[in-house]
Amino acid sequence: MTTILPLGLLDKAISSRVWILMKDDREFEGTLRGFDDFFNMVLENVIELDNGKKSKLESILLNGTQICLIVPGGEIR
Amino acid sequence: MSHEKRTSADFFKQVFGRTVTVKLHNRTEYIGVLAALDGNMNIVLEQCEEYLESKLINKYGQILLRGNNVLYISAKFNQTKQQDVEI
Repeated sequence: MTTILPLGLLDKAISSRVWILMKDDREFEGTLRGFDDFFNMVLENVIELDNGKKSKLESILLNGTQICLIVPGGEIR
Repeated sequence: MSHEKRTSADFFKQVFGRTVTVKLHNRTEYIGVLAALDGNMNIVLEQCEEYLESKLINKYGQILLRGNNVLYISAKFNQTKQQDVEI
């Protein structure tokens, strides 16, 4: 059985939509363009969900320190 | 790697001198021209406006934000002023 490392899974998700949950109940959904070892992420066509309020962002660098969960192919519900 | 991967270093190069929105963990937003950025996400913004809950509360000629507070740096590449859009 091949081993998949966490950052390897993230690499597979590049160019597809990802759903990101932060520690404080914020959510982001966007197209993953890149990331680094610290889980800082470059996302495009982003939807931000904060306290029930959605907003759109064209291109962001998201700080990895507060990221809790990443769902490849997932979306904000 | 077969994909074209844009890392944070590439994002840095693209956003220098542009108007960006920096949102902090405490929901405060700063819109200004990006003058400096380092690997710790420490940021220098110029001609900066400070917004809390979409209300303008302050303006600064130059501001240094400590990177540990930064949630995201957002850029628009058609250079219009960034406004939150309700979906």
